[in-house]
Amino acid sequence: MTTKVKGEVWKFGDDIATSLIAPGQFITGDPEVLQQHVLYGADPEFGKKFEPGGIIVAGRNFGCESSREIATQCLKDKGVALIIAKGFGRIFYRNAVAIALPCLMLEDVDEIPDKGVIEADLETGEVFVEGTGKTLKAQPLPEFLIEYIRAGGIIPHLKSQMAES
Amino acid sequence: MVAQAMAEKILASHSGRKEVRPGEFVIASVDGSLAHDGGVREIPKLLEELGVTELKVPFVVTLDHFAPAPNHYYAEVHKKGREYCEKQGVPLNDVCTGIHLQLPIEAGMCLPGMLFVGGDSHTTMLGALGALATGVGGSEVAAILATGRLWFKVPETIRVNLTGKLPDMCMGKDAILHILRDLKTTGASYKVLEFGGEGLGSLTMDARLSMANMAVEMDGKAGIFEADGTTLEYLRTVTDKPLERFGPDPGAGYKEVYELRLSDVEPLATCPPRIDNVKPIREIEGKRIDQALVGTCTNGRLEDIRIAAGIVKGKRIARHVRFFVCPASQKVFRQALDEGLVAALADAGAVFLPPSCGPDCGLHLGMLADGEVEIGSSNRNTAGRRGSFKAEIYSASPATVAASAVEGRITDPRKFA
Repeated sequence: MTTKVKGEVWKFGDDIATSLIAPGQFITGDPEVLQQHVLYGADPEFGKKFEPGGIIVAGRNFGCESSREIATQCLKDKGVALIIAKGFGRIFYRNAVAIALPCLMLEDVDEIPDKGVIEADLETGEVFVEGTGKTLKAQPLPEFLIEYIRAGGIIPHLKSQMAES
Repeated sequence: MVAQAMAEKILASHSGRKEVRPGEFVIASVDGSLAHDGGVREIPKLLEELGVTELKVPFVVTLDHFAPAPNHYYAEVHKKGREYCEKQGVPLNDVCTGIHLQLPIEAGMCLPGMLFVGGDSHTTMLGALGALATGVGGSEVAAILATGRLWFKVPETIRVNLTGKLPDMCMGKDAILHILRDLKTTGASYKVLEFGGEGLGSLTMDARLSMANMAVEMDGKAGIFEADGTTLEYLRTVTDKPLERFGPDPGAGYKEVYELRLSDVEPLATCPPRIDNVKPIREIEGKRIDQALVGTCTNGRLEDIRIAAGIVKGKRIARHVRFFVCPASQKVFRQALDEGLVAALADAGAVFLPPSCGPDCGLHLGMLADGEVEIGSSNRNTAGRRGSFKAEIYSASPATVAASAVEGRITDPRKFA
């Protein structure tokens, strides 16, 4: 897997809780219901208009509150390629790494316009903004977490480790 | 050797190190884990994928989120969970025996100095017993069960120094909301709140549990209380294992120190639309309510039900209010029966719900319609968490909830002192 990700920006504010990303009332056992309502609590139209490959750019504490892993999984299933935020709810961040949905912490998210294309390098943390021509610097992922993401998540990573031993 | 905070001591002892420093990554062995029906959907599948049949840490499963099963889908989820536990020899707490965070405590599974990692964000509650307890998602629970270990970044610690004593009708819930008002939703990001000091002894175990529960609302990795005489006295009622007091090294350094004079705490509520929109009850008094809820993992223990029963005893709740009481476990319910609390609440017009998390996560058992208002003792007030995205949720202490149920409007419980 390459560690460079390029895509269209989808912007959100602070404190987007997991119960806004994957509201309890749409966790029905039918994944399609949730796919239509991903991020419903923050933007009721997102599930209908998002196009796979897009990059979510958010403020502080993205994915705070409940530990529901389905909140990371439904974003991944939707085709979200990367999430850049000022900060993440810590369980959301762990869950994202665990299922190989890349996340970057960037203090200067306000420098990314609401619309446009950006390209991020997970290893260096560099985020290039096409619209402004600026390169922003996010905290790169620690090497061992990049390994999890390369492997496709903590379970596939563990599987290959167990096979080796 | 460097003097260490409680979380550092626990991560060091669980990763075979003499000491660890904040910011380091460690692989630590885990003493126990838990999952509820949300997790039991996925975890057995992941373990099967890994070919794991022998679990490396004690694991307890509780069916409490969609309990009793509100529809066919969840009935099938529960059935699969039961079959897995039976086959694997995993202890199962079936529907409505209690909440997944309360039951390991009542079973004596979590002791001071342990590292407990569960599949729920409010696993932080177990920190009330002096353990380092934190939440993860289902994949990482599976990884713990498969290997007995997990990676951690050693957190910085915010020391909360407690002094004094809570005033009458003020509870642990008010104390933690007092801190939340200052720290906001990210004030403890990637950090641990460590509670201790000369005021600790005045806090009951039930108060500590509700405070540790909500450490995660400031994005804390954990909320950990020094294990003192109160802790050991409680644990002796649930386990025969040897017990010791546990606290930080004398002279431990902290990222920040937060002074909490318990005597300064007053009745508070988190108000819509954000959990850190904390206001004194006196400022929002008079707001008409449709529903009141005492219970959930945050405030469904005996102390909570006792104070609510004391307030409503001999009175009727307001005619337009639906008042639900949701005990944290069957054990709590039984104790409430023995003390006559169930009768006092039922006579006043309250309805008991089965011990469960249903109302707390927007699933079932008391959802709200557009424009309706609830005051409850649960932890979160995020829009949509109780049915409608256009409903308003206020979260306060059980005393405030009961007083408000009687008046039909948000009410300061000190009027009932």
